[in-house]
Amino acid sequence: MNDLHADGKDEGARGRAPEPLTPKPLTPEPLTPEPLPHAWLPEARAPEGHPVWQLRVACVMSAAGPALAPPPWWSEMGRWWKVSAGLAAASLLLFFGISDRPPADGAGVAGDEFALGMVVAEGDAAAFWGALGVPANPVLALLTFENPGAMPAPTAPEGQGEGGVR
Amino acid sequence: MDGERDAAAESTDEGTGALSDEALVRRVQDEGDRDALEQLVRRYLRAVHAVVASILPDPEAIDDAAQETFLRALAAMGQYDTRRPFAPWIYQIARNVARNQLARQTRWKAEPLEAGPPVSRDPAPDDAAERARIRARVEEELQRLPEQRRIAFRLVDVEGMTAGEAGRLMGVSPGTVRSHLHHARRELRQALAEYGNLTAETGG
Repeated sequence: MNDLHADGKDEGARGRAPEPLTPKPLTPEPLTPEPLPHAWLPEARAPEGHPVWQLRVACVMSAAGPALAPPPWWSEMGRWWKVSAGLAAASLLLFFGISDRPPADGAGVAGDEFALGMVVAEGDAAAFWGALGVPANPVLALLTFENPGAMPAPTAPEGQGEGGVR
Repeated sequence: MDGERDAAAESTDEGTGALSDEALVRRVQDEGDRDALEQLVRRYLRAVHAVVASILPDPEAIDDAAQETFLRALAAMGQYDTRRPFAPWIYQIARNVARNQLARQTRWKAEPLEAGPPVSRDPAPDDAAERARIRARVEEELQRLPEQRRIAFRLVDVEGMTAGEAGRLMGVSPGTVRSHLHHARRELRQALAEYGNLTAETGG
Protein backbone atom coordinates (compact mmCIF):
# COMPACT_ATOMS: atom_id res chain seq x y z
CA MET A 1 0.00 0.00 0.00
CA ASN A 2 1.14 3.55 -0.61
CA ASP A 3 1.80 5.31 2.61
CA LEU A 4 2.13 8.98 1.72
CA HIS A 5 3.13 10.04 5.20
CA ALA A 6 5.76 7.42 5.69
CA ASP A 7 8.71 9.50 4.63
CA GLY A 8 7.30 12.96 5.20
CA LYS A 9 7.28 13.77 1.48
CA ASP A 10 3.61 14.60 1.50
CA GLU A 11 4.11 17.64 3.70
CA GLY A 12 4.20 20.92 1.85
CA ALA A 13 2.70 19.44 -1.25
CA ARG A 14 1.79 22.86 -2.72
CA GLY A 15 5.35 23.90 -3.37
CA ARG A 16 6.36 20.50 -4.57
CA ALA A 17 7.14 19.58 -8.14
CA PRO A 18 4.44 17.57 -9.92
CA GLU A 19 4.60 13.84 -9.40
CA PRO A 20 6.03 11.74 -12.20
CA LEU A 21 3.49 9.99 -14.41
CA THR A 22 4.99 6.62 -13.71
CA PRO A 23 3.40 5.36 -10.52
CA LYS A 24 5.52 4.21 -7.70
CA PRO A 25 5.70 0.45 -7.44
CA LEU A 26 3.11 -0.82 -4.99
CA THR A 27 4.20 -2.81 -2.01
CA PRO A 28 3.33 -6.40 -2.92
CA GLU A 29 0.51 -8.04 -1.02
CA PRO A 30 1.75 -10.69 1.37
CA LEU A 31 1.74 -14.00 -0.46
CA THR A 32 -0.18 -16.94 0.82
CA PRO A 33 2.24 -18.99 2.88
CA GLU A 34 3.35 -22.24 1.39
CA PRO A 35 1.65 -25.38 2.59
CA LEU A 36 3.10 -27.19 5.54
CA PRO A 37 5.42 -30.11 4.81
CA HIS A 38 3.34 -32.98 3.61
CA ALA A 39 4.80 -35.33 6.20
CA TRP A 40 3.44 -33.12 8.95
CA LEU A 41 -0.09 -32.96 7.70
CA PRO A 42 -2.85 -35.19 9.00
CA GLU A 43 -3.66 -38.27 6.97
CA ALA A 44 -5.85 -37.55 3.98
CA ARG A 45 -9.01 -39.54 3.38
CA ALA A 46 -8.65 -42.58 1.16
CA PRO A 47 -8.90 -41.61 -2.52
CA GLU A 48 -12.12 -41.86 -4.47
CA GLY A 49 -12.81 -45.41 -5.58
CA HIS A 50 -10.96 -46.98 -2.66
CA PRO A 51 -12.75 -50.06 -1.33
CA VAL A 52 -13.18 -48.40 2.05
CA TRP A 53 -15.67 -45.99 0.48
CA GLN A 54 -17.69 -48.88 -0.93
CA LEU A 55 -17.91 -50.26 2.55
CA ARG A 56 -18.88 -46.94 4.08
CA VAL A 57 -21.48 -46.25 1.43
CA ALA A 58 -22.94 -49.69 2.12
CA CYS A 59 -23.08 -48.88 5.83
CA VAL A 60 -24.88 -45.61 5.22
CA MET A 61 -27.35 -47.22 2.82
CA SER A 62 -28.01 -50.03 5.25
CA ALA A 63 -28.72 -47.53 8.03
CA ALA A 64 -30.91 -45.48 5.71
CA GLY A 65 -32.90 -48.53 4.61
CA PRO A 66 -35.86 -48.22 6.99
CA ALA A 67 -36.33 -44.55 6.14
CA LEU A 68 -36.32 -45.35 2.43
CA ALA A 69 -38.72 -48.32 2.56
CA PRO A 70 -41.82 -47.65 0.47
CA PRO A 71 -44.81 -46.84 2.63
CA PRO A 72 -47.20 -49.74 3.22
CA TRP A 73 -50.34 -49.92 1.07
CA TRP A 74 -52.62 -49.09 3.96
CA SER A 75 -50.62 -45.98 4.67
CA GLU A 76 -50.94 -44.88 1.05
CA MET A 77 -54.65 -45.61 1.10
CA GLY A 78 -54.91 -43.85 4.39
CA ARG A 79 -54.29 -40.50 2.74
CA TRP A 80 -57.66 -40.71 0.96
CA TRP A 81 -59.33 -43.07 3.36
CA LYS A 82 -59.07 -40.54 6.15
CA VAL A 83 -60.94 -37.97 4.14
CA SER A 84 -63.72 -40.31 3.09
CA ALA A 85 -63.99 -41.80 6.56
CA GLY A 86 -64.29 -38.34 8.00
CA LEU A 87 -67.09 -37.50 5.61
CA ALA A 88 -68.87 -40.78 6.35
CA ALA A 89 -68.61 -40.22 10.09
CA ALA A 90 -69.93 -36.70 9.71
CA SER A 91 -72.92 -37.87 7.67
CA LEU A 92 -73.70 -40.65 10.15
CA LEU A 93 -73.55 -38.23 13.04
CA LEU A 94 -75.80 -35.87 11.21
CA PHE A 95 -78.32 -38.63 10.45
CA PHE A 96 -78.46 -40.07 13.94
CA GLY A 97 -78.24 -36.69 15.53
CA ILE A 98 -81.42 -35.63 13.80
CA SER A 99 -83.36 -38.85 14.33
CA ASP A 100 -82.35 -39.15 18.01
CA ARG A 101 -83.23 -35.57 18.84
CA PRO A 102 -85.68 -35.41 21.75
CA PRO A 103 -89.23 -34.41 20.80
CA ALA A 104 -89.86 -30.74 20.68
CA ASP A 105 -91.60 -28.95 23.51
CA GLY A 106 -95.34 -29.27 23.11
CA ALA A 107 -95.39 -32.98 23.94
CA GLY A 108 -94.83 -34.33 20.49
CA VAL A 109 -97.36 -32.11 18.79
CA ALA A 110 -96.19 -31.10 15.38
CA GLY A 111 -95.92 -27.38 14.80
CA ASP A 112 -98.72 -27.27 12.21
CA GLU A 113 -101.08 -29.28 14.39
CA PHE A 114 -100.35 -27.04 17.39
CA ALA A 115 -101.14 -23.89 15.44
CA LEU A 116 -104.31 -25.40 14.00
CA GLY A 117 -105.40 -26.46 17.48
CA MET A 118 -104.93 -22.90 18.72
CA VAL A 119 -107.14 -21.61 15.96
CA VAL A 120 -109.82 -24.19 16.61
CA ALA A 121 -109.80 -23.62 20.39
CA GLU A 122 -110.07 -19.86 19.89
CA GLY A 123 -107.79 -19.09 22.84
CA ASP A 124 -109.53 -21.50 25.23
CA ALA A 125 -106.70 -23.46 26.83
CA ALA A 126 -108.88 -26.25 28.21
CA ALA A 127 -110.54 -26.72 24.83
CA PHE A 128 -107.19 -26.77 23.17
CA TRP A 129 -105.81 -29.54 25.39
CA GLY A 130 -109.07 -31.40 25.17
CA ALA A 131 -108.88 -31.36 21.39
CA LEU A 132 -105.49 -32.99 21.72
CA GLY A 133 -106.96 -35.69 24.00
CA VAL A 134 -105.72 -34.26 27.28
CA PRO A 135 -108.44 -33.76 29.83
CA ALA A 136 -107.73 -30.68 31.95
CA ASN A 137 -109.56 -28.18 34.11
CA PRO A 138 -109.48 -24.57 32.87
CA VAL A 139 -106.96 -23.27 35.46
CA LEU A 140 -104.44 -26.10 35.01
CA ALA A 141 -104.93 -25.98 31.27
CA LEU A 142 -104.09 -22.27 31.29
CA LEU A 143 -101.00 -22.83 33.47
CA THR A 144 -99.68 -25.62 31.32
CA PHE A 145 -100.49 -23.66 28.23
CA GLU A 146 -98.14 -20.98 29.48
CA ASN A 147 -95.59 -23.65 30.45
CA PRO A 148 -96.00 -26.46 27.92
CA GLY A 149 -92.97 -28.46 29.20
CA ALA A 150 -94.94 -29.36 32.34
CA MET A 151 -97.63 -31.23 30.41
CA PRO A 152 -97.49 -35.01 29.95
CA ALA A 153 -97.31 -36.47 26.47
CA PRO A 154 -100.71 -36.57 24.84
CA THR A 155 -102.47 -39.89 24.75
CA ALA A 156 -104.98 -41.16 22.25
CA PRO A 157 -108.38 -39.52 22.56
CA GLU A 158 -110.77 -41.53 24.66
CA GLY A 159 -113.89 -41.04 22.63
CA GLN A 160 -114.40 -37.49 23.78
CA GLY A 161 -115.60 -35.05 21.27
CA GLU A 162 -114.12 -31.70 20.59
CA GLY A 163 -114.50 -29.29 23.46
CA GLY A 164 -115.62 -32.08 25.78
CA VAL A 165 -113.80 -30.59 28.73
CA ARG A 166 -115.26 -27.22 28.43
CA MET B 1 -43.03 -23.11 -9.48
CA ASP B 2 -43.58 -26.71 -10.28
CA GLY B 3 -42.11 -26.07 -13.66
CA GLU B 4 -38.91 -24.84 -12.06
CA ARG B 5 -38.85 -27.83 -9.80
CA ASP B 6 -39.33 -30.18 -12.72
CA ALA B 7 -36.58 -28.47 -14.61
CA ALA B 8 -34.28 -28.92 -11.66
CA ALA B 9 -35.35 -32.51 -11.37
CA GLU B 10 -34.39 -33.31 -14.92
CA SER B 11 -31.17 -31.30 -15.06
CA THR B 12 -27.98 -33.16 -15.62
CA ASP B 13 -24.35 -32.36 -15.10
CA GLU B 14 -22.93 -31.10 -18.33
CA GLY B 15 -20.39 -33.37 -19.89
CA THR B 16 -20.95 -36.45 -17.79
CA GLY B 17 -24.67 -36.75 -18.43
CA ALA B 18 -25.12 -37.78 -14.81
CA LEU B 19 -28.12 -36.43 -12.98
CA SER B 20 -27.49 -33.29 -10.97
CA ASP B 21 -27.57 -33.39 -7.19
CA GLU B 22 -30.88 -31.61 -7.12
CA ALA B 23 -32.41 -34.06 -9.59
CA LEU B 24 -31.26 -36.95 -7.43
CA VAL B 25 -32.72 -35.31 -4.34
CA ARG B 26 -36.02 -34.86 -6.16
CA ARG B 27 -36.10 -38.57 -6.92
CA VAL B 28 -35.46 -39.41 -3.31
CA GLN B 29 -38.18 -36.99 -2.24
CA ASP B 30 -40.77 -38.19 -4.73
CA GLU B 31 -40.12 -41.89 -5.11
CA GLY B 32 -37.88 -42.84 -2.20
CA ASP B 33 -35.40 -43.81 -4.92
CA ARG B 34 -32.68 -45.85 -3.27
CA ASP B 35 -30.27 -45.63 -6.19
CA ALA B 36 -30.55 -41.86 -6.26
CA LEU B 37 -29.70 -41.67 -2.57
CA GLU B 38 -26.77 -44.01 -3.06
CA GLN B 39 -25.40 -41.78 -5.81
CA LEU B 40 -25.64 -38.78 -3.52
CA VAL B 41 -23.87 -40.66 -0.74
CA ARG B 42 -21.12 -41.72 -3.14
CA ARG B 43 -20.64 -38.16 -4.32
CA TYR B 44 -20.46 -36.56 -0.92
CA LEU B 45 -19.33 -39.14 1.61
CA ARG B 46 -15.65 -38.33 1.22
CA ALA B 47 -16.22 -34.59 1.52
CA VAL B 48 -18.54 -35.05 4.48
CA HIS B 49 -15.87 -37.23 6.09
CA ALA B 50 -13.30 -34.49 5.62
CA VAL B 51 -15.57 -31.81 7.06
CA VAL B 52 -16.44 -33.94 10.06
CA ALA B 53 -12.79 -34.87 10.56
CA SER B 54 -11.83 -31.24 10.73
CA ILE B 55 -14.21 -30.68 13.62
CA LEU B 56 -14.00 -33.94 15.53
CA PRO B 57 -10.60 -34.77 16.99
CA ASP B 58 -11.60 -38.37 17.71
CA PRO B 59 -11.08 -40.44 14.54
CA GLU B 60 -13.40 -43.17 15.79
CA ALA B 61 -16.32 -40.78 15.89
CA ILE B 62 -15.91 -39.65 12.30
CA ASP B 63 -17.60 -42.62 10.64
CA ASP B 64 -20.59 -42.32 12.95
CA ALA B 65 -20.89 -38.60 12.37
CA ALA B 66 -20.65 -38.98 8.59
CA GLN B 67 -23.35 -41.64 8.64
CA GLU B 68 -25.55 -39.54 10.89
CA THR B 69 -25.13 -36.64 8.50
CA PHE B 70 -26.73 -38.60 5.67
CA LEU B 71 -29.47 -39.99 7.86
CA ARG B 72 -30.36 -36.49 9.01
CA ALA B 73 -30.26 -35.24 5.46
CA LEU B 74 -32.59 -38.03 4.43
CA ALA B 75 -34.97 -37.24 7.25
CA ALA B 76 -34.96 -33.55 6.31
CA MET B 77 -35.14 -34.10 2.56
CA GLY B 78 -38.84 -33.30 2.54
CA GLN B 79 -38.02 -29.71 3.44
CA TYR B 80 -35.09 -29.37 1.05
CA ASP B 81 -35.67 -26.86 -1.75
CA THR B 82 -34.26 -28.36 -4.95
CA ARG B 83 -33.68 -24.90 -6.41
CA ARG B 84 -30.85 -24.47 -3.93
CA PRO B 85 -27.48 -26.18 -4.28
CA PHE B 86 -27.21 -29.45 -2.44
CA ALA B 87 -23.52 -29.28 -1.46
CA PRO B 88 -23.73 -26.39 1.04
CA TRP B 89 -26.86 -27.96 2.51
CA ILE B 90 -25.18 -31.29 3.28
CA TYR B 91 -22.07 -29.41 4.40
CA GLN B 92 -24.10 -27.48 6.94
CA ILE B 93 -25.71 -30.67 8.24
CA ALA B 94 -22.28 -32.28 8.56
CA ARG B 95 -21.01 -29.31 10.54
CA ASN B 96 -23.96 -29.38 12.88
CA VAL B 97 -23.72 -33.12 13.45
CA ALA B 98 -19.99 -32.88 14.15
CA ARG B 99 -20.45 -29.95 16.51
CA ASN B 100 -23.10 -31.81 18.44
CA GLN B 101 -20.90 -34.87 18.72
CA LEU B 102 -18.00 -32.74 19.82
CA ALA B 103 -20.16 -31.16 22.51
CA ARG B 104 -21.17 -34.61 23.71
CA GLN B 105 -17.56 -35.80 23.73
CA THR B 106 -16.27 -32.80 25.64
CA ARG B 107 -19.05 -33.26 28.14
CA TRP B 108 -17.79 -36.76 28.87
CA LYS B 109 -14.09 -36.02 28.55
CA ALA B 110 -13.47 -32.95 30.64
CA GLU B 111 -9.67 -33.19 30.44
CA PRO B 112 -8.22 -30.43 28.29
CA LEU B 113 -5.77 -31.15 25.55
CA GLU B 114 -2.26 -30.29 26.58
CA ALA B 115 0.41 -29.24 24.20
CA GLY B 116 3.30 -31.65 24.30
CA PRO B 117 6.86 -30.41 24.41
CA PRO B 118 8.54 -29.82 21.09
CA VAL B 119 10.13 -33.06 20.06
CA SER B 120 12.78 -31.95 17.70
CA ARG B 121 14.12 -28.96 15.90
CA ASP B 122 15.01 -31.01 12.89
CA PRO B 123 12.97 -29.52 10.02
CA ALA B 124 12.66 -32.87 8.27
CA PRO B 125 12.36 -35.57 10.87
CA ASP B 126 12.78 -38.96 9.31
CA ASP B 127 11.94 -40.89 12.37
CA ALA B 128 8.37 -42.20 12.10
CA ALA B 129 7.62 -41.74 15.78
CA GLU B 130 8.73 -38.15 15.75
CA ARG B 131 6.76 -37.49 12.63
CA ALA B 132 3.71 -38.94 14.28
CA ARG B 133 4.19 -36.66 17.25
CA ILE B 134 4.52 -33.63 15.03
CA ARG B 135 1.38 -34.66 13.21
CA ALA B 136 -0.40 -34.90 16.53
CA ARG B 137 0.80 -31.41 17.32
CA VAL B 138 -0.41 -30.15 13.96
CA GLU B 139 -3.80 -31.72 14.64
CA GLU B 140 -3.84 -30.02 17.98
CA GLU B 141 -3.01 -26.64 16.51
CA LEU B 142 -5.62 -27.20 13.84
CA GLN B 143 -8.24 -27.59 16.54
CA ARG B 144 -7.34 -24.13 17.81
CA LEU B 145 -8.06 -22.49 14.47
CA PRO B 146 -11.47 -20.99 13.77
CA GLU B 147 -13.75 -23.62 12.28
CA GLN B 148 -14.01 -22.22 8.75
CA ARG B 149 -10.23 -21.87 8.46
CA ARG B 150 -9.73 -25.35 9.77
CA ILE B 151 -12.20 -26.80 7.29
CA ALA B 152 -10.71 -24.88 4.37
CA PHE B 153 -7.24 -26.05 5.37
CA ARG B 154 -8.39 -29.64 5.66
CA LEU B 155 -10.24 -29.65 2.35
CA VAL B 156 -7.52 -27.98 0.30
CA ASP B 157 -4.17 -28.74 1.90
CA VAL B 158 -4.95 -32.15 3.33
CA GLU B 159 -7.58 -33.59 1.00
CA GLY B 160 -6.28 -31.93 -2.13
CA MET B 161 -9.45 -30.14 -3.24
CA THR B 162 -9.15 -26.97 -5.27
CA ALA B 163 -10.33 -23.70 -3.75
CA GLY B 164 -13.28 -23.81 -6.15
CA GLU B 165 -14.34 -27.29 -5.08
CA ALA B 166 -14.01 -26.42 -1.43
CA GLY B 167 -15.94 -23.20 -1.97
CA ARG B 168 -18.77 -25.02 -3.72
CA LEU B 169 -19.06 -27.39 -0.79
CA MET B 170 -18.80 -24.68 1.84
CA GLY B 171 -21.13 -22.35 0.01
CA VAL B 172 -18.54 -19.57 -0.27
CA SER B 173 -16.44 -18.14 -3.08
CA PRO B 174 -13.02 -19.57 -3.97
CA GLY B 175 -11.53 -16.26 -2.85
CA THR B 176 -12.99 -16.73 0.60
CA VAL B 177 -11.53 -20.22 0.73
CA ARG B 178 -8.13 -18.87 -0.25
CA SER B 179 -8.41 -16.24 2.47
CA HIS B 180 -9.22 -18.88 5.08
CA LEU B 181 -6.34 -20.93 3.78
CA HIS B 182 -3.95 -18.01 3.98
CA HIS B 183 -4.76 -17.34 7.61
CA ALA B 184 -4.75 -21.01 8.54
CA ARG B 185 -1.31 -21.61 7.06
CA ARG B 186 0.12 -18.48 8.62
CA GLU B 187 -1.23 -19.30 12.06
CA LEU B 188 -0.06 -22.89 11.84
CA ARG B 189 3.38 -21.83 10.77
CA GLN B 190 3.61 -19.43 13.67
CA ALA B 191 2.45 -22.06 16.10
CA LEU B 192 4.82 -24.67 14.76
CA ALA B 193 7.82 -22.42 14.34
CA GLU B 194 9.51 -24.16 17.22
CA TYR B 195 9.83 -27.29 15.11
CA GLY B 196 12.25 -25.69 12.72
CA ASN B 197 12.55 -23.10 10.09
CA LEU B 198 9.56 -23.94 7.95
CA THR B 199 10.32 -21.02 5.70
CA ALA B 200 13.73 -22.33 4.90
CA GLU B 201 12.45 -25.82 4.37
CA THR B 202 9.55 -25.06 2.11
CA GLY B 203 10.91 -21.98 0.46
CA GLY B 204 7.88 -19.94 1.49
